[in-house]
Amino acid sequence: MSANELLFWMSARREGSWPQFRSAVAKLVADDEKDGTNPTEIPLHQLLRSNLQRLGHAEFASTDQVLRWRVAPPVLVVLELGGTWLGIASGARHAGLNIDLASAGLGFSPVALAHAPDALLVRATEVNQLERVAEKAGLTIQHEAPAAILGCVPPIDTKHLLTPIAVPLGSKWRVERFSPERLNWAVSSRQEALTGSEQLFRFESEYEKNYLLSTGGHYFRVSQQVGKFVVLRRHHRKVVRYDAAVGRFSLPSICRPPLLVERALVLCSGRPPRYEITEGRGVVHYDGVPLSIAISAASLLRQELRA
Amino acid sequence: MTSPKVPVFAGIIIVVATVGVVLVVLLFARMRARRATSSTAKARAQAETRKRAIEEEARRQAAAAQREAMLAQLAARREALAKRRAEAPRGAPLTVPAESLPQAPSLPEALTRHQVSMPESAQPRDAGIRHSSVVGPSRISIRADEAPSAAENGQGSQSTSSVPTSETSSEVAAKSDGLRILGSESAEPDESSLALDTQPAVGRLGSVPNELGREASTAQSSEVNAEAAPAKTKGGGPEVFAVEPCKAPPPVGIHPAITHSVPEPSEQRESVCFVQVPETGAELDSTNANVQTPEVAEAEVGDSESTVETPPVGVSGPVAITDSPPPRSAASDTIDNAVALATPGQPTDRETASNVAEVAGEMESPADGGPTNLASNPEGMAAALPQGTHAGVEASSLMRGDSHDSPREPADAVSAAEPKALADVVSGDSIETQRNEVRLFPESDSTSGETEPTTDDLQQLSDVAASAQEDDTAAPKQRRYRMLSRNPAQARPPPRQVPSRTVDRGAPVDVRLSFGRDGRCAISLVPRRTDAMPPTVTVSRRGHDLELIEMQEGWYEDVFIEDLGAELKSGVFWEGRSQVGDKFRWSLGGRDVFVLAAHSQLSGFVDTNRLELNERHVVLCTEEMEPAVQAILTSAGVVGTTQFTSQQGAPRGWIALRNVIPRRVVEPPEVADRLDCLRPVADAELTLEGGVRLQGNTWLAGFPPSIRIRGDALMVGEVRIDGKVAIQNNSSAFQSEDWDTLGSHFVACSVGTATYILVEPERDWRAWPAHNWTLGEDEAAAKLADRPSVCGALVMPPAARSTTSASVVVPLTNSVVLGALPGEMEVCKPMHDRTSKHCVGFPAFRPVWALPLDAMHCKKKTSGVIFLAPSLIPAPSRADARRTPLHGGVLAWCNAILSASRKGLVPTSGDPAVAALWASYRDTARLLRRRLR
Repeated sequence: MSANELLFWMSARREGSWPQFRSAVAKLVADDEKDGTNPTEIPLHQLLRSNLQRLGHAEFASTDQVLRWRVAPPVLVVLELGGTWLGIASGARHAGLNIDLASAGLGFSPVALAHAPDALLVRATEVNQLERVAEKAGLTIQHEAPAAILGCVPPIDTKHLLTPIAVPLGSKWRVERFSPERLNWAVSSRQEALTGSEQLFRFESEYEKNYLLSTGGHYFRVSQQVGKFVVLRRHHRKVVRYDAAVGRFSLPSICRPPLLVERALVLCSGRPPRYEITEGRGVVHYDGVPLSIAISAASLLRQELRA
Repeated sequence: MTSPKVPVFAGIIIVVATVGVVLVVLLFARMRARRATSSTAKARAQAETRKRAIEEEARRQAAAAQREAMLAQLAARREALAKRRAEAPRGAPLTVPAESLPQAPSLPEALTRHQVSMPESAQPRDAGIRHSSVVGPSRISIRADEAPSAAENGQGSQSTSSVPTSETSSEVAAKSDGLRILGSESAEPDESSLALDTQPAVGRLGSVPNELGREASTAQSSEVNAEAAPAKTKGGGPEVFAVEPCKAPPPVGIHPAITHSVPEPSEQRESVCFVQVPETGAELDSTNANVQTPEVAEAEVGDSESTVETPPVGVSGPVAITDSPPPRSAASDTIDNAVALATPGQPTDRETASNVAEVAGEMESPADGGPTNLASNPEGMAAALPQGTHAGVEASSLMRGDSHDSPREPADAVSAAEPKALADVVSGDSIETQRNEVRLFPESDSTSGETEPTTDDLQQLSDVAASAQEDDTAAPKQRRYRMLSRNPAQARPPPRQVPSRTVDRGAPVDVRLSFGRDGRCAISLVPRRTDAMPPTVTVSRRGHDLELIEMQEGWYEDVFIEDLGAELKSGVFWEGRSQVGDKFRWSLGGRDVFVLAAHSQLSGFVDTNRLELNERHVVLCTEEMEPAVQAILTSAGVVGTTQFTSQQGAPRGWIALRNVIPRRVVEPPEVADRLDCLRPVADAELTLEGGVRLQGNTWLAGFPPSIRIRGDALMVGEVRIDGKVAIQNNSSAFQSEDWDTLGSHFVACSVGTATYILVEPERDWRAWPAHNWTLGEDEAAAKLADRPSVCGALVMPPAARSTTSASVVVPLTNSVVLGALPGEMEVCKPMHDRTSKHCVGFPAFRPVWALPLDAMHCKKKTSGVIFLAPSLIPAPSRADARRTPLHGGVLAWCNAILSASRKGLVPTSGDPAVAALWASYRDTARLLRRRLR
């Protein structure tokens, strides 16, 4: 079973639990990598989950303390790229989708991706052509999906995204503080969390992680990504880089954007971000990002675009 | 003057008085007659009672005399036996003349045959009584020593010893001082185990080779007529059986039950006998003893069979035992067992008890149809064994019979004048416990509702086990007597189904090994999870808590242990409780060699049973075992393995061998050993692998399973799919015509069958608001329905709109979206962030134009009219415009177009067709505007 087959399996099952997903991934590994070699440092099921989420194939959410997944409806993301139109298949898939897309006589090119289902790209000179292909293949058209998503996402410092919380008690927690200057996690203490301000703390136990944002004597539980960019903004740290020539949107790997911002960036090309080590630091690159999308994304992250 | 009426009155009075007197007299007379009648009846009854008492006393005296005679015979026989033993040279079998055996009291002369069997290679030579499962087919495995007299009698390799059952029992009883029956007394006892299989088989005797290569002649040893009083031995000698000194008591464990059933003419009665056996490994015969009389019980001895034909209880008939000891097993010496047979379900009878108590247990006395509760201890057995009773048991056993509903207390069956041992045996409430003691539990019938020993029973067995380890001189323990069931035995119930809840509470722990890119391996323990187990549970491990968290279906997360090597060697046992108090446990047997293979549900390599041909494995073994492991792997054709030591991630003291792909079958040795898991066997299995399996045997169409033969594929002939011959493709998977079409398919070959179904899933995936926000306004929760949401790559309109329109993204400068029809207008809300360049709208119409919200005040150089439609959608014609109902929406639509027109905005596309279209819309707006005026 490959990642493509994993998506077929998910599409046929429609939804399931996290353990089911892990079982399916384990079979994937068992079938494809009989020697048991772990290809990456990151567990494969986490890699696949991340990519499936980024590419809009499936949603993973925790309901009632139970993590579940559900496959998203099939969508053809339509983008205008300098006079031509690009269609990117996202969401659920069936075995005949490739045939449907290929039979349209357009520029269909499945692109193999690492730890993700193939990117199914269709190029056309007219948007009408893509609409016909989508209708034939049973796909829903989503025009300018990146912009549409970014148009719905609130910025990272929206107050209602922050959930008030008390500083965790007990000695079981290992406390770390996110350093906006060094862009890493530094050892800290609960006392520092009680006295610090405009800081992001991580309270980690053996089986649990809590991210705590301290601001003005108040404490909020935030997602890791949101908390980091909030702190970066408070410390006026600019981390986003954009190369307009190639449409590359870059971030330090420790500062990945929140899910939907990242999904918008990924859907600009239909490919997951590239990981690269530059000057000893990990950097993720999102390719094919138009300037308008880069600006919108940076604004949501409260960052400025720098070349 | 006297009245003439006076005499009349006087006369009347006289008459009345006279009549009254007469009546009184008659009354008294009647009363006397009644008294006389009752006293006569009482006198008769008393006389009758006295007469019966006299008769009863006479019977008792006769019975007592008979018992005395029997006991005297037994005592004499014991002395003779002891004398023979003392005189016989060491190693020589001890023969006991049949005529020296006591004659059993009268019992029906039915024939009881017991098949005595012994497990094969797994059976230790010194097996002793081994037996069994709690329920199920009954067989009593009895230790038998070296084949008896045949060899000494010059019978070559044929050895047949025929002894009366009672003699065997007596011998067993006499063996209370440490002798063992059915074996020659030798310095190196060649012991074998006899299993008294009480299946109602027709009398036959197996032909079994003995330790010395002799093979008992079935013809000579079998079909012994139970009515023939003297036992026969081939060669004309007396029936013999060897007696061997018992060795020191080995460690013993609780052995399962032996079921001993004695059928009545129309039904079968059963009892369960628990036998204590030494913990000598896996050699125990795990069958039940089921003695059925009159039947034949066959005894399998080692890899051979012995048949013991036993006459029914009380019948002085011969018992033919042919046995041959199994291969010598060093792990199984020094076992002394005794068997006590119990016959439940029949009424206890005093005479029967006095007859049979004797035997090693409880046997039915067909004479009266009542049950015989038998218990034996060395003395009691010796004293109680009559000729013709069940044989082949060692005397150093004790038994306890259970009769749950016997109307009579066992103690009643034995008079106080009888020997204490016998009384103990029969009463069952005080039985000396010695090594190799046997416990008999009645297997409950359907009416009793019991199918296996109770906890109390098991506890008592534990006591027996503990006591058996004690010295022979240990004080006897009191054993509680249990009545035998008198309920008619029913058909044997099926093996008890362990409640699933109990099963679910125990789960194994698997060993998992993964290789990393850094050239190291990581080994973990993966506890399995059943449906009954909680997602998270805390277990105790060596005094420390360990939390198990669900990883995936069927497994908890990996557990990495620092000193894993020791735990792999000694085994793992974890126990934990859920929040509701349910108790769970996990275990892994300790070994020094593990075979790991790819798993269908777990990545890496997971421990499995054994190496399979042509499959890739990892062998994990201790450093001490490595030479032996390597030698076997070499013989299996394994080449090119890679070794991982503790430096590369293997546990301390262990070695992991990677790329172990056996190519050849390795014949296992005659004696099983722990390295058998490294010897591939010539076996094959039909498997369905890969594909996209949805559930069970259902696969996704287009992704069928690969049909393969694992193991030795050469032994598999033709493979057919849906009846069509399948051929192997390049990847060795079998395929045939239409094997991957929708529907059910059936695969068949010589090693198995399989079914798989290919289905096409429905394509009705629906979107749902996976992500939505309130964009930061107040009353956040109330605003959710007014906000768009995101599902995958799809941006969905607010739920409150109940529209199916797709989202449209327009520049923030052109937030007004117009449709083709007058009145179709949507103002996209500007982005929440001023720096954003776009806004999102969800028009309920097909958008054609995007105009500035305030066209009159926009920058003409940077603003324009954006054409949104994928094709040219013409504006309404003049006629349509005239018929269009006018309302505020139409006015707004017209004003937006006219304002942009007045500002001089033009379509940004530069396409003349679009410009012309824009002009037509402008004309239509003007027309409508005029109408509105």
